[in-house]
Amino acid sequence: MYTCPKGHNSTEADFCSECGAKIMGLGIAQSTANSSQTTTRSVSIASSSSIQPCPDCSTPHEADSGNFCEICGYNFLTGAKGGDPLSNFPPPIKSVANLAATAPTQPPQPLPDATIPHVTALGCWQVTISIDPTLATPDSPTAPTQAPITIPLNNPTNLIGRTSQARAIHPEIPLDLDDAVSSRHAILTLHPDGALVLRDIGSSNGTMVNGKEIAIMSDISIASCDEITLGHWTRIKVTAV
Amino acid sequence: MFNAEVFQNPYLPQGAREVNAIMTITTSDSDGVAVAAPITNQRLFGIICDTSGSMGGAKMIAAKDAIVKIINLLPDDAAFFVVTGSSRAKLLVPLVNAVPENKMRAISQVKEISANGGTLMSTWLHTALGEFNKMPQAICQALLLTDGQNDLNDEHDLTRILDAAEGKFQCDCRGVGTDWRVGELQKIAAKLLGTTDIIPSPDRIAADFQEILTKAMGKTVSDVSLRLWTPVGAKILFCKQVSPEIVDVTSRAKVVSERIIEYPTGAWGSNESRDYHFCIQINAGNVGDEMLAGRASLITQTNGQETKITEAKILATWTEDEAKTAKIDRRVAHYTGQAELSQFIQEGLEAKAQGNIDVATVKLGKAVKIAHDSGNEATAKLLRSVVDVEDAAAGTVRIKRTVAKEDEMMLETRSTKTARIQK
Repeated sequence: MYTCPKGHNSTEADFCSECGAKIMGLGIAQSTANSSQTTTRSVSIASSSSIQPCPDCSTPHEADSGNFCEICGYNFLTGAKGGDPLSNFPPPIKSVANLAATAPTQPPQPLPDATIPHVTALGCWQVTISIDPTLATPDSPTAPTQAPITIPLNNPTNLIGRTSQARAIHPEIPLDLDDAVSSRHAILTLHPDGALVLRDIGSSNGTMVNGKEIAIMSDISIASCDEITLGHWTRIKVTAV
Repeated sequence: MFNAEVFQNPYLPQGAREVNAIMTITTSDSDGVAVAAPITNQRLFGIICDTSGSMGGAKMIAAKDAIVKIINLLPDDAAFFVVTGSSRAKLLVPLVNAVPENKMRAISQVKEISANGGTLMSTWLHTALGEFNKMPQAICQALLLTDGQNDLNDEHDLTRILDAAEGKFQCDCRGVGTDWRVGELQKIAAKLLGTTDIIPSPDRIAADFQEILTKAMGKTVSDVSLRLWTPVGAKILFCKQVSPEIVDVTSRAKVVSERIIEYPTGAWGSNESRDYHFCIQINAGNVGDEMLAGRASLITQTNGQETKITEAKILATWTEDEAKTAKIDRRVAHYTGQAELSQFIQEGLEAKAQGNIDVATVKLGKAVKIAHDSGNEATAKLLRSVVDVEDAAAGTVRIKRTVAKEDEMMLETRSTKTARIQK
């Protein structure tokens, strides 16, 4: 039996036979040493809680959503706090071994008075999408008429793009009417401290904030009443509620 | 020796969930190499021949002639039987070994065949299944020849017998002339892991039968199934055989255990190669995560004992590097194109049959373009019998005013044949 990073028992040595996660550096010798204990422990983890609170910030964490806390970045694999500089990380192989040795006896306890807050900013921002034909270039097709749409930002990350069934892209902020918008155009990220950040993730036709072109893959702070323009004619007004 | 290889682009952008992979399975002569799978020597070949009234005349003469040739060609160590069918089936030659004296007796019986009556295919398959059940260990293959449509009242019985025969024997179907229905034979062949084709004129029957027999006698490993493991939360969007021809096997999946399903692939000969396209939806991982999206293996079963012949892995890795995620694997792209080609032909012919010439022109034009681009010369040639091609590269075509029925049926039945990707 092998144990995968998410705590499943795996009959395969390379990838977990349950969830498919890659198993690194765990040999048979190691897991047989306290196999019975490991087995019972990991079964109880797997069955009792596919959702586990983050020990650092208490945010519920789904076992199948990856190794990191989505809010504070706590690393469930190594136990490292989120935001720790990379150089402080122990070498990965060693840390996996450490985890295997210590996890069964000392599961990390959630801190009762979590110092890192939830994203209280959720729902505090909204975007208003409108079609502004004056933004169109002479080459653009005729802008359709559509009343402005307001979307509250209810997620920590919000993809701006166009829906694509074939590529399974379902943006939080869909701009399907404007075909000069890239499928995966930009991301609006809500930080735990309430700040809103825009990043153009390599769009084909670029993004402007308040009329100024922004650099690709760099984070731009967005303030209330800022306007993002993109595509042929799309204008997104960001407002704090 | 079985060999499996997976071709895919394992890199996915953040949030993406769909993994596409082509698995190529090849068998090769085992010169000195240990054979990984048990080889069966017993081979049983069943001949099922339509003797309904419409078969009379040139078709019946040619069919009898072809059956005699096949019987003569059967190797001594094989076994065979002959079923003739009209409104009811007749076991003309019960299961015998293909030794010279049995062949002689069978041939004299075949010469007595005369044509009359209706067409109830379920009864033919029922009789054939009875014979195949006598030799469950053998590689069981059949050939069904017909020239007409099955009786409409037989629909229910046919479905039932196909369910019973599935996995017991394989059956290639051949339609002679142009009065049979493509969909009907394809339904039988698909369920019984066989091929469907048209024999446009009776004088081609003998040559086609020989080819089928040679292929059937070349099979050495029976009952191979393709097993696919997928992780928790995964969904198999489709599984298609894409080479040598397109067969959507998604619905043939049988559940083995919670995470494992299997698809029957029938018997395999040496020097055979088949490609499968898997499309699996998995839970999205974080950037940097690497996981297994599927583990495909080939399994044979002999006397209830399972042997794993070969295995291949389908991977998924999430990355922010768009240069990596934007690429589509060459083989995945090629076979996706071949599947579209087949679909455009089906839709084009359907539109043409409904008199919708504009739609048919667009669809068949697209088919011509894909056939041209992918080097599928066989399909391109068949398309040219239905449309006049003005510009193959651009897909500009005109539907021919008069098209021979057999040309159209040939295009319909053979549109699923794919071109192998150039190395």
